[in-house]
Amino acid sequence: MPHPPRPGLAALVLAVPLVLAGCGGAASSAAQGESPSSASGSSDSASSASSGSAGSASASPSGCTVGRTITVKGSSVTPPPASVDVTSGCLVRLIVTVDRSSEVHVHVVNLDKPVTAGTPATIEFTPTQQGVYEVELHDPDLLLVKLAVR
Amino acid sequence: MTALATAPATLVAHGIGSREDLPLPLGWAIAGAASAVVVSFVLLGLLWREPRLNAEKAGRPLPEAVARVLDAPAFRRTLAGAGLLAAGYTLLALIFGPNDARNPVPWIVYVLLWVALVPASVLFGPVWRQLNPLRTVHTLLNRAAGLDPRDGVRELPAGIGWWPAAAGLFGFAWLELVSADPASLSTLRWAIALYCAVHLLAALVYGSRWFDRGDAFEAWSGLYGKISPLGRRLADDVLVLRAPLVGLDGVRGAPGLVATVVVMLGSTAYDGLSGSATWARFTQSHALSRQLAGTFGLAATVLALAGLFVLCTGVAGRLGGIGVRESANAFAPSIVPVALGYVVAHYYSFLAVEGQQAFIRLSDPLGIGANWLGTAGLQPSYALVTPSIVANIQVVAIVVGHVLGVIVAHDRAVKLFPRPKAVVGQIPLLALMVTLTCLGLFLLFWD
Repeated sequence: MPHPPRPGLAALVLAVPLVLAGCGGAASSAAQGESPSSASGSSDSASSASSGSAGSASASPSGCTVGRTITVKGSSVTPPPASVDVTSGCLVRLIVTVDRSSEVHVHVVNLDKPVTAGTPATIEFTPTQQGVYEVELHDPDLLLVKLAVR
Repeated sequence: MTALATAPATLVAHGIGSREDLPLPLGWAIAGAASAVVVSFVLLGLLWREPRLNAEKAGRPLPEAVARVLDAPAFRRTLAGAGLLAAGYTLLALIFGPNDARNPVPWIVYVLLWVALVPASVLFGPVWRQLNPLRTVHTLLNRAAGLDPRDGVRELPAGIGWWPAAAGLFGFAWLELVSADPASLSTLRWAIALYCAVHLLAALVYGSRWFDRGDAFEAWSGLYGKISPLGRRLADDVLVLRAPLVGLDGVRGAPGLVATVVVMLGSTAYDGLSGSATWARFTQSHALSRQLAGTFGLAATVLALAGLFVLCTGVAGRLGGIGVRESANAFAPSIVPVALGYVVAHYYSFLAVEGQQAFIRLSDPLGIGANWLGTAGLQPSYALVTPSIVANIQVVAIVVGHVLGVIVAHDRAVKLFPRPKAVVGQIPLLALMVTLTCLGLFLLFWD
């Protein structure tokens, strides 16, 4: 073909990552800024984990903890499911109370925890792989919270 | 027992795969959207004033030796045989494999057939047409009966066009994103049996032409395959190497074409939407059944995109002096690169991780501790899916898909619209493309 469109296109394609590189710093700091406020629930427990009182398997080496207390009634989850930022290596402590015995599943770490109706169940784990972890209840299938691990 | 009980749970998101990408940082999303807008106007100002994408004549013929191999009946038969072999392997696992997460069938269907087919088609053209085991079975049945596979008992009505493929793609998206347990063996057995029965019957009635636009996977692979630098020159049917996108110039308007490209785009958009915590908050607070909400959400996403597309192309057509239907058909191919951008952005990490899981599971399809391919004991590597690699790929994919879509739309506009109207007629198209790009980025940013 006489006038291939590619040279101009290639230049534009190359330009995009440069634009991104310019914004990268601002972007990541903006994302980090959200984390303290979105860790709601029992966030007052932030300093308690460092003493090693939690089980040895779930103790966080960096001493930070993200907590969230979740109550399920029927199909209503309180607080409603949201994405919560977690720093990689921090201990996640979820306290889940359900009105019907079921099982909580944490994706990626593949943790299953039976929960009994009316009894708060404490679920602890320390995610280290970056990504989004869904925490959900089985039967009824409900999303409890999403953890954005960075 | 525990493995059995947890298996379906780990297979929920995307049908399979529990890992999800971190949301795109806001700054990156804004940078992507801004560059899309800037790039659009630069393209519009600088691009060629004559049509350049010419599927009739463009391209350089492949070296004769290569073309002879690719055109040889033996090569065709090899590919068809490979498709049959893969189908047989899948059926083995589908019928006799374990009913848990060791079974490779969900990975074969949702990762290899659905997602991996896209890069294969973009590189090599409409590969599923060559591999499609149903096409091969149909051909073999006809040959055995001494009949020509192209002949059916009825003529395929012209009004059918791409509609069956659009319906099939919608059905597949529903199966993967909405159905109760997409990765369970019983769901897959029903879905595969239904799919085989419908298409074999339709092909027996209408002849092998049915598959061209009736089979969702041939349409999926075929439309993405139009982006491929490898293709056939329409004027003489010679295999050529050509600039990517030229093939899209050869896509002719037909019933259901707009629906097909809109479903291609909408199913991926809905995947992003339905994975968000916001969507879960909405459905859970209204105590909607997951299937009902999902069906509604998928249909609404597709219809909204269809409305947006028809509105923008309709206004462009009016400004350029052509009808709404003609305009929608003419600009439908420009959605294909945009949909490709969405697919890359949403499924890159899924393919990178679950593609490895597929090959790990393929080594032991019956769950008997076998290691037929030597890949059974491997652990998937996550080296290719670090957050920064994924975020970069996502933004670049959406923006590049946008740029390519603008190029295809521009080329069409220059062909169709009279010169003085060509530029003003493109403004609604540009608005469409920028909206789709921002939507794509927003879905990646949102959580």
